[in-house]
Amino acid sequence: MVDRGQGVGICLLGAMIALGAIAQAPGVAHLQAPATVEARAHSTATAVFQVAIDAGFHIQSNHPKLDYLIPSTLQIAPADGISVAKVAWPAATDHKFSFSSDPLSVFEGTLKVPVTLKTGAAGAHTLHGSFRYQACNDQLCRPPVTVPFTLRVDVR
Amino acid sequence: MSNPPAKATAWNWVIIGIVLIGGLLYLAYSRRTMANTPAAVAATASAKILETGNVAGRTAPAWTLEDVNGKPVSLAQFAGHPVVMDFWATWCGPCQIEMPWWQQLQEQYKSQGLVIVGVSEDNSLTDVQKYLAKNPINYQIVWDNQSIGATYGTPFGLPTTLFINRQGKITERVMGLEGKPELDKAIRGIL
Repeated sequence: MVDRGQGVGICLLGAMIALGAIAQAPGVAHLQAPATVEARAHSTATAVFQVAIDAGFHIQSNHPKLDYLIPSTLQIAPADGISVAKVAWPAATDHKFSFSSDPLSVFEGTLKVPVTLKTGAAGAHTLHGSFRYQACNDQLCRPPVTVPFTLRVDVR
Repeated sequence: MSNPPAKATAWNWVIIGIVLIGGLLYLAYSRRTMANTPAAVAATASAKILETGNVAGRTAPAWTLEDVNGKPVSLAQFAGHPVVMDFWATWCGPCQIEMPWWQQLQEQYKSQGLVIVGVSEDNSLTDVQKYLAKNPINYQIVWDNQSIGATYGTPFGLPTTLFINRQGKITERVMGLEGKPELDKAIRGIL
């Protein structure tokens, strides 16, 4: 059975789990990078990123229609002979908002962003990248956010 | 009194543990789901003007910023005037709905000393300059350059507007797009 010490342990574990959840930075668009990408040397591989946007919000697409709007970008710094060949953003939605006279090109909901990587020599590599976006809803806009991430690429 | 059986005591701890875990997870969940609402921001205990709860009656902290030509502009210059501080950015669509209204209201209440200050939260002064070249504004625009945050904090979202009376006290803070009648009413409250 559970003794007093184990009971305290359970409580502490619960507190750690809860505080871990709280510690996650609040944001509107939540990026999930693949844990590991496996690839062949001197070839190409695809890393699929997922972005989940909070309900009611949108982020500007990678090609907003107005020059003063901030596009979504996903960048990965070249390293160890690995570089980005293509970022395949999904088709954006043209959405008319109460504050816009013309439809804006935006992303909403959940999107997948496949990124094609050109690989180099074999080895386990860690790449560093960033996802930048700017979100709004009908009433307000959040400041632009840059989310750093790391991507492990195992090249064989 | 007799001591409770050891088995019952152990189960008590299990129940306490489950209740605490549940409570903490609920707290974490509610914090995450509320994190993007103005109410969540208002609920924080921060004392900064743009981040705390009720700011009515607080003295607007002093600031000195620069206009788009590099000329210093300070809140102290407008002592004795009713002042509207509108935090905006070129990338903020809802802000641009309000801007023509601010221009109309500035004109309407100019004779009563109203000063409207648009505080740009853009990262780049060039962006603001380009925007204003295309969209001339008849009220004061200053560029924050991320310097006002020390005293005012960071706005949860834009537009965020502060209404400051002639005594330098904040009467109201409005977050998000409002209708022109509501903005007009708030202005009449500081004249």
